[in-house]
Amino acid sequence: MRRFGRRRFGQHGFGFGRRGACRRRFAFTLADTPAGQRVCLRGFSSSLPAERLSHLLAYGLAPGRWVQVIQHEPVTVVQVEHSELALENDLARQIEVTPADDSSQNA
Amino acid sequence: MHCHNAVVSETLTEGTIALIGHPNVGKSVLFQQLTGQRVMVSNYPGTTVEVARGAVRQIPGVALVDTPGVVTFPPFSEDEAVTARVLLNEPLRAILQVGDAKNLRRTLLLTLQLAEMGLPLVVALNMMDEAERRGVTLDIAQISQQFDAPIILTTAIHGQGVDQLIAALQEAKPCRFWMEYPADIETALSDFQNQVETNLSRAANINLRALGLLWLSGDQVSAAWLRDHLPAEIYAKLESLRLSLEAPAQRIQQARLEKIDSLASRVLINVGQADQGWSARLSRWSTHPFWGWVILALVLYSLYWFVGVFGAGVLVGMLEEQLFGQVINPAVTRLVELTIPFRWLQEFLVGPYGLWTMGMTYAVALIFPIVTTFFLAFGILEDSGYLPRLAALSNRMFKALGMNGKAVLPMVLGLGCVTMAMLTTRVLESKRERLLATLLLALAVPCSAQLGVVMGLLASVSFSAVLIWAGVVTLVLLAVGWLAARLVPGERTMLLVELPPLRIPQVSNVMLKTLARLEWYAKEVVPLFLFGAALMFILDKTSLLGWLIHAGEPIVSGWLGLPPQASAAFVMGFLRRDFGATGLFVMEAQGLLTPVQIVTAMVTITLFIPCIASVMMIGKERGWRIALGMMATIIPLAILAGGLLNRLLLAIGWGA
Ligand SMILES: Nc1nc2c(ncn2[C@@H]2O[C@H](COP(=O)(O)OP(=O)(O)OP(=O)(O)O)[C@@H](O)[C@H]2O)c(=O)[nH]1
Ligand SMILES: [Mg+2]
Repeated sequence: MRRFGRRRFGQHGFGFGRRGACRRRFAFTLADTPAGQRVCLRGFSSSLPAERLSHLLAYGLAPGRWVQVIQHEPVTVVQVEHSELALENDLARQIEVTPADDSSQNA
Repeated sequence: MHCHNAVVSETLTEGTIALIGHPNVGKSVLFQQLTGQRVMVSNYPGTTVEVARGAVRQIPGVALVDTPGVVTFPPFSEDEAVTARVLLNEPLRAILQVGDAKNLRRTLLLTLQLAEMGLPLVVALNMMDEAERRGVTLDIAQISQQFDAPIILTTAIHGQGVDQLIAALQEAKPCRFWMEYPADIETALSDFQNQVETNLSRAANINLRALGLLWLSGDQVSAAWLRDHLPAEIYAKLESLRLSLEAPAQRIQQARLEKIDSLASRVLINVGQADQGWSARLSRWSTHPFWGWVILALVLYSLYWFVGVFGAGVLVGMLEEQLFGQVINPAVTRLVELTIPFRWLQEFLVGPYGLWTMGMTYAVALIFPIVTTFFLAFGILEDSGYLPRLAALSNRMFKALGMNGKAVLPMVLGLGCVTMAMLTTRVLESKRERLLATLLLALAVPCSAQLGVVMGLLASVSFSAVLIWAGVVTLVLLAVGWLAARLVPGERTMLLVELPPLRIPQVSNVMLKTLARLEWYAKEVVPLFLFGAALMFILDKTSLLGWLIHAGEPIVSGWLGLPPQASAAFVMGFLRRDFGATGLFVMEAQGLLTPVQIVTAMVTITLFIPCIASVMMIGKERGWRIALGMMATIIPLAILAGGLLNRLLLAIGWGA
């Protein structure tokens, strides 16, 4: 059970479309986002350890926020505000996102 | 409202201020600016792992504590816990938060948590130079009003804003910031306050409400504090109170995030543009799946060139042959021969293996240039911001060793000083990872002092000797790491690390760090080196060596294939690896060792326990049982690996 589809998202009280910033379409994770794309974060896999979750949120990887994916190899790198975070691919796979089609209006 | 803070006078004239903030935002730079005291500053998260104290120059009577960076409360790693303990246990008069101005949301999330604590709070929004270059504009007045705390814009490395900061600290009043949480959490908070208020054996440093929020968020540090200061039955009540709530930690954090989101949308006038300059481009390449390795190879080659070719070749040649060989040593020899009548004392000081002619010459002319160039290169590497990129690049390898790429940090720092690097294992997230990293540090990472001696010795043999030594030590590191990861129970943590911008190192900071490290080398390593040389001389002259040789013979000669006198060096190696290497150095100078024996001896001594200080550190940080267990593993392992290598080298006829 590695892929996102069968995992349950929206646990930890960080549910779907928290602020209406991005509406749910289909499960899509940060690991599936092509490099260079901006995405809106939606929620987290229920298997994410609490301590990783808390750090992700503190770094600004929180539902409703926008991030830009920079690369996936050897690790996933995303830009959040004006800083870059490197995260392991397996961790990126536990972060659900909505691909941006209207990224211009949000910051 | 009940106020537990110390009575606050009009202006600040005494007490302690805590510097608190995210990792790598410039807390230690500000600490230096405010106290005039030197502390380590580097461009990677996790430089400071212990508190540092100093007196604020501009406010007489007031002390400042520098703390390790925290990502958020409650703390998860050990270095964060150090900071949380400062907040709870230290009688603080004020908090000085340092934040990164260009990452406002993240910074304010921490501001909110600190503001809730009720102590006077001043926020330094640092790195304004970088924020301005990216076009970030903020509504400072509104932030300040929202949190009831003065906000000062600073560029710490240029000292900008420091005066305003001091003025704000002197005037700071207890913070009255308050925000509302979901109803059930609010109820639990007032229950908490009622229970705790009357039963505490010591007044809390921070607001009871903030303490309650930490407690409900599952914080281990405040749990320990409450257990110490409350009757057991009250503590039990608090536990059931927390258990009655559903996911309190997440919901508290969510409420805060929402608050910050709505605030940020009002105070962020311009979010700015991502950096597009050389720093950003180089950053991409340095973590690129292909070019990243090319850059790593370039970095390693530059290191080899600067330390190996320039330091160990050019500088050593100049110092050893010209300065010492032709000028200083002949002069010293003449002086000794003229002033000291005893033949044996003359020989002890300036004979072929004398204290000055061999000991001091090697320590100053040979090893000193090697460590100096190494410290310089090391400082540049630390300040460039490359090390966190190395964590990203090496994550796969450390995954196989049961850790994540963050473990590269203590490993690389170990090349400077293993004992200090063991403290840095605090930045790793789990106990298991800290244990694994400590084991590998103790086993296979040579510190600068030892590197100097080993390099000086191996370079006299051949470059292939250096390669064999490095290869075997790396192999042992990987094999033991791999095995230990499978034997030590527990989960590994997935990598999550911030990559700070690549920055051009400040010359002054690199110089000061190099000087501080050279001072350590001159004070701690050189005397030991001389002592080692003297000891070898005395052992040699007095045949005290006899029983040592006899005792160590089976292992040293039988298994490792070394001359029996090497026993003495290994006994010295118990005190310190580089001390043992010094003994071998002396033997080599006396022509007692063949190339195979040198490589075998260097591998064995490198894999030994680093030094007494590091054993004390393992005991202190990981516990004495673990320290003893590690010694019992490492010493036989070092001897096993050395013996095997000796046999292998002889079998293939290397160096013959
Ligand atoms: N451009 C710029 N760089 C800064 C500024 N302040 C600090 N730095 C750099 O940021 C890096 C981190 O500084 P430190 O003082 O070590 O940060 P810290 O908060 O103590 O970090 P930890 O101890 O790891 O938590 C260093 O490379 C500094 O030179 C600033 O105002 N502008
Ligand atoms: Mg620091």
